[in-house]
Amino acid sequence: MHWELVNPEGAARPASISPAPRPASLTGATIGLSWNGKPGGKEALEEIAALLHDEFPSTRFIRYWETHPESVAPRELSLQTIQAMAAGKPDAVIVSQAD
Amino acid sequence: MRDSVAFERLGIPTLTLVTSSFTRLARATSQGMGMPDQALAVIPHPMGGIPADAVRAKIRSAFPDITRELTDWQPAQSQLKPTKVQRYVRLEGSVSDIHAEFYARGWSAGLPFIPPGRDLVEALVHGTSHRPDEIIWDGVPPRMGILTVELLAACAAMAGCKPDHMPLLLTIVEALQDPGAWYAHQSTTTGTESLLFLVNGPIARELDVAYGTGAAGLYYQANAAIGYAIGLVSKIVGGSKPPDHDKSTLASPADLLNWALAENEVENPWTTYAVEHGFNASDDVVTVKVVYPPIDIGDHQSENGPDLLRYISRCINQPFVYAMRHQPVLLGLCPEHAATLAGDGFSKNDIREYLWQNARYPANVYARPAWEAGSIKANDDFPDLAYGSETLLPIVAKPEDIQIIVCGGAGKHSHFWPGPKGMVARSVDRWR
Repeated sequence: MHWELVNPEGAARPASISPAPRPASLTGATIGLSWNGKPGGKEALEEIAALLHDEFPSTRFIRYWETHPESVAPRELSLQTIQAMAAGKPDAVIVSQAD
Repeated sequence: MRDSVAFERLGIPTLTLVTSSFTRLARATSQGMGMPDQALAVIPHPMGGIPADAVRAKIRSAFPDITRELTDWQPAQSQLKPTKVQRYVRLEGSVSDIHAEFYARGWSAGLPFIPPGRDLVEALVHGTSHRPDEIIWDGVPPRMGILTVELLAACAAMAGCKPDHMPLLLTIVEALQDPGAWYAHQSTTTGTESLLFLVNGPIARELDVAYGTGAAGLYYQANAAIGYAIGLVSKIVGGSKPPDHDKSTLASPADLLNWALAENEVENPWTTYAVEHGFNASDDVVTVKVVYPPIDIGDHQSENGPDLLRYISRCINQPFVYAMRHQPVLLGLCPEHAATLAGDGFSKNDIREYLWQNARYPANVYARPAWEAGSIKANDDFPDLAYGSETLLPIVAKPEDIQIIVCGGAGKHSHFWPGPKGMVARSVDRWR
């Protein structure tokens, strides 16, 4: 039997975003730390901050769970929240998606 | 991953901590969001539910990679090539051959379906005035599949839907895109989440969407087909498939088939859910909600409202992962329980208030780090809340977060669908 069927999967949205350039160095860098509230994530980020500080003492950290408590949520953050977090002009953000 | 992509869009580089069980989902989500690759620091699973010292040890092991990735990471490929998709596929063989081919392509779970022949799909498209190529969801997560009216009709055809079902399905698709529905989270979470579709108004009768005995049991054609159709959209178009992208630890049958039912408006002693939320009784409305599996509240003993409410408050008094958030839970009262309560003068608001006051559990049911300094306390609905280990916590933030419907048939079994997300109601009209 011959079938002409609709492909039920269709297309996916094409890639269009280029990754942001990485900082050349972590010396003097400002690093944002974003925690989604899941257990273990904050401890992980604090440990990274401590280790980075040991290696790059001039590094500064923004703990978003302190500056932007609304960012502590296991769901997609609003663009408004992301923009507010980005306003501190971090050189990079470490995002914990712990599970 | 979505937050990381949002930062990258703003020109801020990110490094995302994921555990080893979630790397495929992370990369797929990133690609689906339009970013071909992303800097990941992969930590051995798990990070949650282990001592803090164990978390720190995992980070120390990964730290050389973390520092390197922060400054030196480069995408493996600069840009994904656009994929060319065949709108139609031509196949030869029996129905069984079609099933085998669709299964091999990842277009079915291996369950029976009706082959989405071009004629059949066109017939379903005629169930709405909207054009077949109209994009109705520009990116169904996590694959970020582009859903058109025709594609929805194809999934609907596979599930056994009829042309008359299309406006309802299109409304569900519209509602699922509301941020309050939390669809993206539902499509990939480790939780046992599925979707519930509640139908109100004359359309329930017109489409024979069951509301009485066994309404949610899928032995009613409309209920089953509607739930299955949206399940196929989620799995095939959205790519929310286990084990790589749908990460539900165990999941449930509703993960594919969902819950589709109408409210029992005939035996509802109060206003319906839709009317309560600003619609007219003559409006055709569908409400979507992400739900965990329900709790059966079987009470054959209570002869009055106060006794019944006390029993219900005990049944639903459970701590939930994201407790105390402003996220409605859903109480589906059976008609006999509803009659007992209404007969003793309880309004829906009375019921909500009682349950909110009495369905409470002590904070110390959570592990100490959670309520003392962690995920339970850090709550955007209660930013200033101070409480101790013995404080009794309500199951939701406010009484109005307990949503009440009347559903099902004879018998004394109500149901309670715990969180975790909002309810979004939409009128069907614009999709006719």
